[in-house]
Amino acid sequence: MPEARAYLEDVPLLAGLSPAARDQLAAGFEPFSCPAGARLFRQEERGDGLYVLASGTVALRARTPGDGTVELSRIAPGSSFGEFCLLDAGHRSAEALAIEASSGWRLPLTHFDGMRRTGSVAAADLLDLLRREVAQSMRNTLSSLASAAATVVRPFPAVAPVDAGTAPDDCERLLCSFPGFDRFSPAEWEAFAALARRRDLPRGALLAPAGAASDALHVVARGAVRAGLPVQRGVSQMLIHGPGALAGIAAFIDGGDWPLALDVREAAVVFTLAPANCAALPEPMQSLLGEHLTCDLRRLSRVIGRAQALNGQIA
Amino acid sequence: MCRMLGYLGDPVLLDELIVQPDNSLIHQTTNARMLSMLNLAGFGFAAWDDGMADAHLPLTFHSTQVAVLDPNLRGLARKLRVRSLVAHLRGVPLDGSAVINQQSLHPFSMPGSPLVLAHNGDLHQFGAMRFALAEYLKPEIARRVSALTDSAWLHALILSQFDDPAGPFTADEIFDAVQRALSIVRKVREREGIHHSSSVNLTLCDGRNLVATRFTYDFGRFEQPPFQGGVEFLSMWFTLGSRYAYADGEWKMTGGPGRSTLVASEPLTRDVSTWVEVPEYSALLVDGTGDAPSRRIEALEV
Repeated sequence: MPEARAYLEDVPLLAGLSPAARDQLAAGFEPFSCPAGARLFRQEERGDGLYVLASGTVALRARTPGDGTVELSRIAPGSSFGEFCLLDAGHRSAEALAIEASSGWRLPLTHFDGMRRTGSVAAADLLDLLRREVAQSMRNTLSSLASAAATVVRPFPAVAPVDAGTAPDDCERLLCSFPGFDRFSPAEWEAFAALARRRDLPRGALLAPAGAASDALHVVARGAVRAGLPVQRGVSQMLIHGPGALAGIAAFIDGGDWPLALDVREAAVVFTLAPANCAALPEPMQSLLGEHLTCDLRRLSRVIGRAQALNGQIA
Repeated sequence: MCRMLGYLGDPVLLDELIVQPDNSLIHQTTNARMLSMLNLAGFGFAAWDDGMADAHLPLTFHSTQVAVLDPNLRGLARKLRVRSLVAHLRGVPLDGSAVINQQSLHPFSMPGSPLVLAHNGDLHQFGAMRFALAEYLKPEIARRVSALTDSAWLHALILSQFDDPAGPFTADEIFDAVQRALSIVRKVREREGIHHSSSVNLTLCDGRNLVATRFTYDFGRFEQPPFQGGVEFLSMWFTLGSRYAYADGEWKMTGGPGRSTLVASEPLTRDVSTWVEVPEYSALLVDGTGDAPSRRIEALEV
């Protein structure tokens, strides 16, 4: 097996990193190998790191109700998998099964977390790439859901531009109890508030239309925001964002059009952050972006799982 | 806040649903995984099987005992095999404010009607709503409401939506009745100025059809977290198969999509990978009257 450092240059996920950043990360990769039929990880177990496959074939499979399994994808040499856990330290949403004898490198989550906590630029750069990859995965997932749900183009009213600036005390009082926001320092609340505008929205209000370019991130403080695909009989709900959740993350990260409409399902207090500049956000907010984005993708995967269990039906 | 489950399908031993699995319903008395609360305020179930007398009406069991300590419940569970079940574990605030008696235990039923209801959640300030709701109850049903709790009144309100509470019903009719009842509650809350987060996860069953809702009024509206049970949308999960059984070292549905549907506040196993969530603001409808069950998700437009 070639050295990790040389091999990682050609891995698409890491192609956007500088050589120096790639070298720093390569030092943390450990080799792995397994026989055909071995499980690299099981669905629902806690993620242990990012895998890069150098040889062999690995299938990613998810269990279904009734004790079945469905193959989600096949990993070929040069590809990576298991990367979501670097963003949210969450549980595996699929199992990784070696179809033939396989080998490669694994970047342990514990090592990566250490780099991140000590302010490693390479770790921050990789997180940025991962966020973009997850945003793209969300787009792919939504495309398949949209085709199943028979979406329609609906005219939506124009959305008023968002002015930044609200009181830091207001943000802190309403958000500080939620996971992640409890890490904010007074200076970080100042930075958050400088970008945020509080909006008190009634049930049914449209926060962002489907298909529009989005340059805003919505932090829900109270109430519920629905992300849904416009369909003939209304909105096909994909996600509900409750208190402490972030709505519109993927479009905020990659700046593209967003197929989901955001409307207010229950009267809400929302802090809208503008402009679309991840770098301007305080550090804890950067972590929250990755965590919530990954969480949203996992929830969308469950929408697909549910549709499969119910013979393709999207509500 | 409580825990509950509903089952419709091939006959299953109660023990295999409420006692044996590693996160069984009675295990959730003290160790619910998706709710930060003890559920000590009693247990109840309604069950149907073809061999029972008046097979269209449920056998009901209610006990104010702490479920995990109740030997009668375990004894029944080891002997009773049923094709439909709604079971409920009651949890109340640990401040002495709730009445603990048989009449307040779920699932709620009325003589002559096959439709039972179990509720997971609570209607905030229900005392302020109760008498406003009374005008929406049919008099013959209002006379038979046995408890003052929100859940008992929700059951009565839903039954009042039917021309004949004795049935028979379809899953769609049950769903429509639930939707109308929830709309009435929304209107009354509005009238009374109640805007606090209030969850109404329901399991309704008439022995042939099952409807499970996942719904919260004013979700996420509260003064300061944490509010009762946590800040997450109250969970509701389901799984499908031929038989719920212990196989390959775990409890799970086996045998492909099958005839059986199991819905619960939280999966009955720590491994949730073969369970699926009922989406928020939606209901799972199971029509078990045909040769093969029909199952679908419907949005609750309330």
